[in-house]
Amino acid sequence: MAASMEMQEEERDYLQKLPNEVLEEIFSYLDKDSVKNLRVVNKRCKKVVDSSKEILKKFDVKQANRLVIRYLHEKKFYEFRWCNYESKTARKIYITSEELKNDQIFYFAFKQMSFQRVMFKNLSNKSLSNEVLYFLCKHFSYCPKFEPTNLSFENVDFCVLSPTLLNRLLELCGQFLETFQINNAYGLNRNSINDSHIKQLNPLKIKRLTMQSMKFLSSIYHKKVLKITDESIKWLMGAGQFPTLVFEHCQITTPIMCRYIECWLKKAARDTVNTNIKSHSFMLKHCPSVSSEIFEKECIERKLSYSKSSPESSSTPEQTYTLFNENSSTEFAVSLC
Amino acid sequence: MATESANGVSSPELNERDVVITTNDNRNFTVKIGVARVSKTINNMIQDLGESLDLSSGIPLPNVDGPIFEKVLEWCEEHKNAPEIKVEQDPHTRERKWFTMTEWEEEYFRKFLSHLWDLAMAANYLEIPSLYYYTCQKLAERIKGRTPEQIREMFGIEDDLTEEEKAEIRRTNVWCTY
Repeated sequence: MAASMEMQEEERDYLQKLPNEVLEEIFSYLDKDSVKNLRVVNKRCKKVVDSSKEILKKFDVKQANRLVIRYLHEKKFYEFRWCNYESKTARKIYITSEELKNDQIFYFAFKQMSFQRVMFKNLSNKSLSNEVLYFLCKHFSYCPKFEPTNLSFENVDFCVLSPTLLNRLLELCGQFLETFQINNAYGLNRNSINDSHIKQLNPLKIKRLTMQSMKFLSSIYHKKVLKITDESIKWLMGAGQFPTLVFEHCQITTPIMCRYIECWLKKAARDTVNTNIKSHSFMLKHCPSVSSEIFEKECIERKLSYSKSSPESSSTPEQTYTLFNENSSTEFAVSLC
Repeated sequence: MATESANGVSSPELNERDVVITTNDNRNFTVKIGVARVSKTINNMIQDLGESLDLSSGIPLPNVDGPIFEKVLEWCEEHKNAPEIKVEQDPHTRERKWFTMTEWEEEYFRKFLSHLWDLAMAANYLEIPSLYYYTCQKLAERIKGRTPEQIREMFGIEDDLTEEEKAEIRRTNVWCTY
């Protein structure tokens, strides 16, 4: 072996002999493009690059204003698309359900990204699976910073998703969210979204919480309700901030709702001098424990003045109430149906 | 560290004394301690042995062979009084700053161009920062700007990625760039 060293032999197999530490040192001198090239050389080189803090720190963290996760049924893959408004960049990456098993596959990519808003869109036909959400949670945790302010689900089928995976996602980002929106969700059951999820939100941060157009698996009326109870409302108002709420099919009751309004009006009356907050709203739809009659009674008991209006086209039984502070111009709008 | 002594002999004196170093092919090298100490590994051995250090019976180096150690010694001789080198980063690009080498160093690497891998390994094991970082830089120089195919060919690396895997990697490479 010693003799062969003297020969001008080719550098065959040298890479195999070198410890990762030495390769990492060599690679750390290289520019970003060379490093990217190395990832395609072979598995070993890729592994050295992908697992090296020293090397990855060359790459700036890219701020994506929005990340949209979709499922393309005709092509049978998920699309992760992010865009940055300032640089007017948009990038897409695809992954098949099969590939989701490899929960490190995009390590290199996510390691350099930071997402401001995360949006799940058009995940119909059971495509919002536990696998894809697990995969994403794993990858979000690779981001140097995962602090999105906005999380939304739009046109999404919840029927196969385990509520604990939604807990997992909120564990990563719940405390940073300012907006949490679910719009046009279907395949729901009472646990799909529940108190435990709401309690993962940060009551100091959250400004808007909406759930609209919720459709349930069951067609039985009393089963078409989410296990979101008064507990959630207590949690949300606990920090003295009052997010704008739109709830549907929840177990929230009328008294807690009135208390929410009462507290907000008191706060608004106090704060009116130094803030511009003049109005607020709360919408409750299809919540079995909420009714106009009880609401009106509660208001009278609490000495809350209100005015009532019903829409002209009475196709929807929606009732709108406006509650106000008598000595200031703040008002609170409530819609019930 | 340089002021510490082994054998109760003060450092400058000790540096002038010889020590025998045996490589894994049983070759003996008689080296001035001041030169051998450029290697932190050897320096530690000398210090650990302390009183019991027998300069004539030798220090074994099971991971380095004679021909490479010879080349390493050339470096140590030249760098025995050199200050410690510092690894620096460009604050803007966050890329590693490249070292500027002396004419002697450039010549050294020209001479041993085909032994860079061995030198890197030996310098890593022997803990000779200057030789280690400089050799790595030389190797990086050879990789820089080459295509994956060229790199594979140059170093005889087996291509163990499928075309699909490569396409996947390229996709992630592109995904995270503006």
